[in-house]
Amino acid sequence: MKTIKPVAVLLYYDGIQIFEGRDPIGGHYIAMLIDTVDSADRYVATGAKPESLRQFRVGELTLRELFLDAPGGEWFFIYADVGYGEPLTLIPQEGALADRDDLLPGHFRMRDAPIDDMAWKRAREVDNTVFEFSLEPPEAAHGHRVRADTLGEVLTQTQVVVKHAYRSAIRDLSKSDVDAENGYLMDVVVPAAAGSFRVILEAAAPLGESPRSQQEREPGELVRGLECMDEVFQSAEHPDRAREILAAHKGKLAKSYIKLLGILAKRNTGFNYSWADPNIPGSRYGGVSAAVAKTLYAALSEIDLYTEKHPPH
Amino acid sequence: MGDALEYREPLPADCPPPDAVEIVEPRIVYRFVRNNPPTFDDFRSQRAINPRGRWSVSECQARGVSVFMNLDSANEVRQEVENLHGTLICEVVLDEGAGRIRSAGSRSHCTWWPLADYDILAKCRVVL
Repeated sequence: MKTIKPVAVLLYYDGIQIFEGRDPIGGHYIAMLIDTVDSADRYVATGAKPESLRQFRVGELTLRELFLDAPGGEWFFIYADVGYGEPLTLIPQEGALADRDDLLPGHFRMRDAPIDDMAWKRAREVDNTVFEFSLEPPEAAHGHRVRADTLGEVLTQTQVVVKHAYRSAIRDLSKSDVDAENGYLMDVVVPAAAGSFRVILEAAAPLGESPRSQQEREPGELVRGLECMDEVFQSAEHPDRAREILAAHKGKLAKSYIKLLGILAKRNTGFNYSWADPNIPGSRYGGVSAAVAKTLYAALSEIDLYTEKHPPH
Repeated sequence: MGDALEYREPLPADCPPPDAVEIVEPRIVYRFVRNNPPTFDDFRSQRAINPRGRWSVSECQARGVSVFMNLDSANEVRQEVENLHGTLICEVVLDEGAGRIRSAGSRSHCTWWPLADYDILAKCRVVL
């Protein structure tokens, strides 16, 4: 009997609802909870093509589409009667899963990939504000790889969004002395953490080069910027709300955010981030799937970025 | 945690985890329930429902209660996940004395470890 090991929990609610697994030779699987039999959670599972799995993870395919796209049409039951992390036995089933409406999953779509809560742990270890983000570009479906220009573009534009979010957050506090050229709020400390395309940044060390540089930045000020960035990302699935939020944060933040969405749409990658500060318990999360980035970019690109007025309809 | 607080369910050592936030400011969360009005059965943990189950991410998480921070997220998950069809969505007001909570996973999902004295049923109502 074939076995798989779970490698990622994709949806959790009072237990593991959907997870991704791998078999001993690297084959990919997806599994969804259907019921509990004799204390063992029972899952329906299929194999998954790496590219289809990636498309599911970034919101381009629904769970139903992923199941129906299973290589060879094979499908299985899994009785989860072992500890998490131990191999699970795949029990082959006969007939076509497409004919089993009682077992086929619904149209669940990933909207934000789960990200390990590493940021807060690191923030406490280094006693600094930590921001991390991860990408899921198409090339990552075929191994641990990302195009250099994708990584570079997203990293650079993320820094720009953080900068403008920071300025937007503190503009009412210190209108006159914000250093307009200071974009080095965060430094990259881990360019690509093993096992993912997770980039980790920390608040930059004081430089003291300008009238109001990082040296004078008060503890927690960068947090205001990141909270502002959260507010923008939280509206991602609601274009009308996103327009309102962007209008409230003036031109440059709106412009930089829309440009980041454009990069994610062009590169067909989801973007998920978490950040933490040693003085705030727990990490904060945000992000967009590739599918949401495309929709939102199309909806927002019509905004007049300088006046933030909508063009007359 | 060393705070000697009594939780609704016995918890393993170091549970809730250090990054679980103590609830002091009022906040609203959402949970799937099967009864209207909700009953204590609707707030049982995964471990309480299935004491012999071995499959879980951690014993600590299995003894917490899943909630969503966002009503839209909860509603979407309910509509899209077969296993949750037919449930109701209950709004729960958490304020001081509610216990600890931690973000875990996607779609604004959090795990909540309620304190034993927190009167959950007085703080919840079905909204969808």
